[in-house]
Amino acid sequence: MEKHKTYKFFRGMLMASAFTSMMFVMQACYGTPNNALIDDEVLEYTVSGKVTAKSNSEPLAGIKLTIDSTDYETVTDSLGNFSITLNASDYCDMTFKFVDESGKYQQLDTIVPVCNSPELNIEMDVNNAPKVS
Amino acid sequence: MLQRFHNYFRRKETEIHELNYLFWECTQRCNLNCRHCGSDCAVSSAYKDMPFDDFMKAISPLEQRYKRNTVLIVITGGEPLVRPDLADCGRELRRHGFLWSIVTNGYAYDESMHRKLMAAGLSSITLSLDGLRDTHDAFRKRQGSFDRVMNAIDLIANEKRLPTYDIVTCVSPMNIGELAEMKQLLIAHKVKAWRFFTIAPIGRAVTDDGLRLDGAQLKQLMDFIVETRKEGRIDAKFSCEAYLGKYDRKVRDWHYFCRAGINIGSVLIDGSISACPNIDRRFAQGNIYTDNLLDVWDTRFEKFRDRSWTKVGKCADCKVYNNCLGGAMHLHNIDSPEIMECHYSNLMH
Repeated sequence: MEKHKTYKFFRGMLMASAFTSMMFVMQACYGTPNNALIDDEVLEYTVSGKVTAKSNSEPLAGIKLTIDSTDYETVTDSLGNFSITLNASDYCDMTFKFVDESGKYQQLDTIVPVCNSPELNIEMDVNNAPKVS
Repeated sequence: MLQRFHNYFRRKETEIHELNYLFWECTQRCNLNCRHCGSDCAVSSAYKDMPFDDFMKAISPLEQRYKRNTVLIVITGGEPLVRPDLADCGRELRRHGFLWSIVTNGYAYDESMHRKLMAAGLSSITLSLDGLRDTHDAFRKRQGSFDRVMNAIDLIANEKRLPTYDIVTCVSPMNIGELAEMKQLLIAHKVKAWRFFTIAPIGRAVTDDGLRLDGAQLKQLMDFIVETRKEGRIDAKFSCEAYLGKYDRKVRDWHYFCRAGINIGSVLIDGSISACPNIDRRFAQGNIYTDNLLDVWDTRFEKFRDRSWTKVGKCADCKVYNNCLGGAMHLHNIDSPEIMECHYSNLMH
């Protein structure tokens, strides 16, 4: 494969070019369109929301948000807001994990149907508070 | 000039042969009994569905070699929607970094199925529509098939999170006169991509002469695609089944290139490792139950990557052989290297 290094370099440049990328869009006669090389990279959507304290509805800054089985992560700003951009072909139902690294608030794991959730409002309990269902 | 550049590109792609499009024939069961079926599947199959664990075990070496989101697993059949665990299979594929898609007749694709598959990260889908109501139902040999597939089309055409999809039509003498009306129908239903192929003399279509286009009808189809592309209201294109001479770049985005065995592989229902599932199964190069999929991909597939064996019969003296390389692999069978059907010569005469 080493001998194809130069070709692979130019190939990468061709794939990145909007004009020539069509060369790499493959589709078997009876197969589906392949978005692996182009569309999947560009088609994204954003999920945003606000994290507040359940006790007094104050916004919570610095809450870390991760999503299971992915590398996505972000942190809420001083107003408790977060915004995360996901790849279009990721799951609709994703497990969002909200963690307060100071330990004051309980970790919150929630499965979010992000397909239909442009805005998420999350409330977190104080760590020692009795869990409210 | 552009064709020469393409031929160079095709040669280099063949040399590096990255596997990034893998069919999985997960079942041979089907809920329809279509007149033109290329896989000749059955309502009650001789084979059981392939256990997902067997497939996952076979493809796990791909996970080590290829980057996340660069290999598409195309789930086909039979009819993949008859598998009760389809969404679970898809979800697991996403978890391992594969994109996944399905080719379906749409009969069982209702809103609940749509939600389940989207939630499992479906990234592409192809639905078959073979005519207006009466023609489609006659092709599919089941009343109500048209209404069901139109319902499925509405679901996917209105789904913002589906990165890509298309509608395919097998064009035959039965539906060629309906294409203009079908185009209006699809545009009205917000469909963005429409792909055409002709019916190859394989599967059930071997014994059904009424399904094949003659030269004049083939030209009519090409002219229709050219005109539709010019209008720009729907992305119409011809499939990768043949080199088409002067029509080649006019009915597709790029030149003809049969990537079977070059970028396209398959795991068939019995574990055979091959390329597109509609290719003569005797071209299989190994079996996942006895061989390592990547070893087979790396070291075999000679007949797919060196097509010089196809330069016989009518191809032997053909002046466009270098552009065509003997046509698509599914138009050959292992007993006779000569191509079964040549669209280029049909168009020329």
